[in-house]
Amino acid sequence: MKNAIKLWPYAICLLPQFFITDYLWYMIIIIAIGFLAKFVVRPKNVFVTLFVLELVTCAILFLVFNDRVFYLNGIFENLKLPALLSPVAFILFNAINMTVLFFTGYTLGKVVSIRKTIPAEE
Amino acid sequence: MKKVKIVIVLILCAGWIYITNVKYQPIDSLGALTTYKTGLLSVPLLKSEIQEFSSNYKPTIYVDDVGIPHIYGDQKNDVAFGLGYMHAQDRYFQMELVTRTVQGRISEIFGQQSVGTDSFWKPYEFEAKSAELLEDYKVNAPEFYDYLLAYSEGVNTYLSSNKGTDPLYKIFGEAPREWKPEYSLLVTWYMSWSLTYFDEHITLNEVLTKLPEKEQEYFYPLQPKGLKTILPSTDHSIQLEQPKLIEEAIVQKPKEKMEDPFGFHENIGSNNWVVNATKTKDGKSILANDPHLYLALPEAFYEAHIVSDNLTAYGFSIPGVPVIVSGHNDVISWGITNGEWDLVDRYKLEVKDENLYLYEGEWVPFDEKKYTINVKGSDAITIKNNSTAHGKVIKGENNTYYAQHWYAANKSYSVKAIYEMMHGQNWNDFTDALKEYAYPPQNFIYNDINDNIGIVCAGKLPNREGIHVGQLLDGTKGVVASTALDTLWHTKNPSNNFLFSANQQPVQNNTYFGYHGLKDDYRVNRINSLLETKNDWGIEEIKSMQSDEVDLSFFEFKELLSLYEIPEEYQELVQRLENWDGDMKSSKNEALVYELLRRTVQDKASNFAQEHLKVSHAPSFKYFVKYLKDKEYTVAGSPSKKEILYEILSTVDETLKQYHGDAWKDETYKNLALINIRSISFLPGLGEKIENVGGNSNTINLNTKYSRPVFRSIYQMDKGSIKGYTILAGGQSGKINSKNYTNQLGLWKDGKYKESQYKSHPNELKNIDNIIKFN
Repeated sequence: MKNAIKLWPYAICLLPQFFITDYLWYMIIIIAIGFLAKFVVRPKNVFVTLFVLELVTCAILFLVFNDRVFYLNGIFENLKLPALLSPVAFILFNAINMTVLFFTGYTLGKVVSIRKTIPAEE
Repeated sequence: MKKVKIVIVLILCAGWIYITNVKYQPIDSLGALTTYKTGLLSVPLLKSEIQEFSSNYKPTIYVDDVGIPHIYGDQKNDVAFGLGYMHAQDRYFQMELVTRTVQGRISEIFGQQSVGTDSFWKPYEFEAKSAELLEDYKVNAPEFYDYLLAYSEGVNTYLSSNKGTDPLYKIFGEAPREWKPEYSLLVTWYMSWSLTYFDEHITLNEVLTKLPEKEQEYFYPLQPKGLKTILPSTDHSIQLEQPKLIEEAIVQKPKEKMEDPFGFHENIGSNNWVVNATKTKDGKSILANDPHLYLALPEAFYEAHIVSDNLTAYGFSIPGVPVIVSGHNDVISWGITNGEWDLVDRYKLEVKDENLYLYEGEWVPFDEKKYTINVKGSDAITIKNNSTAHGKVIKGENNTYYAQHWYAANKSYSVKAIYEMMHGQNWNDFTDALKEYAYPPQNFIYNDINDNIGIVCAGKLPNREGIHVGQLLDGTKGVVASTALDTLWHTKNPSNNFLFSANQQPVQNNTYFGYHGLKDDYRVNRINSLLETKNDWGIEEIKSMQSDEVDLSFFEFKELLSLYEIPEEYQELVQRLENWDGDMKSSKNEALVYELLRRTVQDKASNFAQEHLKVSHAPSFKYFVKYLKDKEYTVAGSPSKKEILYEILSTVDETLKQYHGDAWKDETYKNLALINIRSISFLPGLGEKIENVGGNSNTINLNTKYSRPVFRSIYQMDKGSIKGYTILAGGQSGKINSKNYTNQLGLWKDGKYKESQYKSHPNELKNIDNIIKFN
């Protein structure tokens, strides 16, 4: 149960992409979740854990909705670019992007926690 | 150390966030586009299903498998609502681009790169004019006003629940704006710009002032002999009096792109023709239409079928406008070609202190107005526009000033005229409706189920006082034409049993429509000769005729070749053409050779004009070849005609060998005739390359840099049985994720057609993909 609680920021972090239609708000929310996560999750392999989770989520999303962006293959072909760009952008790039946003918040959380601990140490 | 590590991580994260947030104006950021809800993965595809909505209007829309909506309703406003809904579903991005362009608001989507376009359009104040026109309709034509309102509500009903259904909006990071009824009226000005904004008055004036009368008449005849006019009035050449001309020492063209309109001769055109029962094997009259425009994805036209108790029509509409501009109803059918009338006057101004112009004996200040252009991604820009009593001021080089008057910028009732025409039940209704039609001038061809055929050259031709042949006008005097001629040029049931138009002059008399002597008339003559000689036309033969690619200019060039002894080194080249029939098929080597020859002749004509006639406007192919064939007349100081011909042959011979070596005999016209169709969004990769098409600027199946047949339609009219065959150069949908984005291109390229489903009851429709009901 304790472990489950410590994992919730990862799960929550996956949700905004399904609801938020404004990218600026989306970034703010992910960074905020990352920030809060600093005080909840185990400080081990945060980036890798989230990246793997995002990769799986993005891959599922892409596979489910692949037909919606099928036309991109034609565009890439016209531009003499490889069709592989489509999964790379929607799976790999997207997973990295979300992880980086989360990790930014997480790192900011670290900064705050360090600033809090400095006076105590002093 | 820990702090340093954190700082490095934060810097890397900030760098990533910056890169993924950069908007490659006008395109949205990579981060936004790849994230599910804000990006392209969230844009749903149109599914085959039955949808039900509630509305004040109650149409039912049956969308077939190529995306053509068959809209059934009780009243015409119901079907207008349905048409609005479908236009929005398939073409809203295009509708928004066109209307924003005309309003001078395209920079709000495309950013800095479109400021030039907005600077051109904004001073015409079409946004205000369209609102005034709508108010006018509200008072004087309430039925049509309600019709526009119903259409607008249909558009907005779609948008209200489908904001995120077009990938192009996602790509540009925009949301569709709400549609207003007056936007339907803006489209007229956009079409007028495409089809009437020709201004060659400076170069034409040079021809008129610099060339002796004999050379003018020889190379640039105002009243060309033998011209096949639209109305049966050939060879009614009338000698015009010499116009009053303004000497113009240096030919200057305005520098700005938007100020530099198309030339009159650049093959913007269209074909339509009609044959009555006497000339068909089935005894049923047939009408054919293929308008030529700059091809883009999606195309300018949208096929639709509307059925109600008081308005029924099938054919091609323009997205944003609830009328069928080319099509038919239960009784009559109609098709359009561009009138290509000269609707621009250019005045030479006398200016001092850069803001005063001499006008009727007094120095008058320019009327200066400022306009604000909102630009996406940067600050708003204020532009200054000067105008005179004549029109917009254009500054040339060396402090030369002109004023340009574009008649089609006036308010016009053209949309309402077509709306009335759609209701027509006979020739009189048809002509009555078109009396009100103004811009852009169009040749409306007609047939009906009673075997009547006719044509109306509709539009408002400026009533230019005195003698006017397109020369520069005197800006120290008043406006030449403040009113339009009160004339409707039309004819019905001619004795030869056919009528056609291909952008030629309506009649040849002392009325100035445009300087048609600058254009070649091979396409006109080809249509005329085919229609004249054949008396057993059927649908299949008409289809073949629309794809005809014979260039009649070849036979004149062949005659030229026969007049001179051809040197040994060019014998092979000339021999290739000896037994050729002039058919510009993409698979032919002869077509490649001849097209190079034809283009080289035009280049030589241009050089000849500049070097020997001392004017910048080249004579047309026809008059230059006539000159080369002429053994009696030679322009003083010019090289011999034999020399010019040899230069032409040499250029083509070198070009072929340079690009293809000795294998040029195996090369075909394919690559030269290749068509690149661009997306209206101008985004790279969204266009299509069309290979294996033939034709050139002289063929019925036109293929030029600027225009090609945007659709082809054929209607066979008979009592109780109307058959239609259509094809669009693209697809019904403007959505890049739709199966109907380019699905008709293959058929279009091959000259094939779909049979239209003109059914009075929806139960008779076949291949229905979607049903949209409004309760």
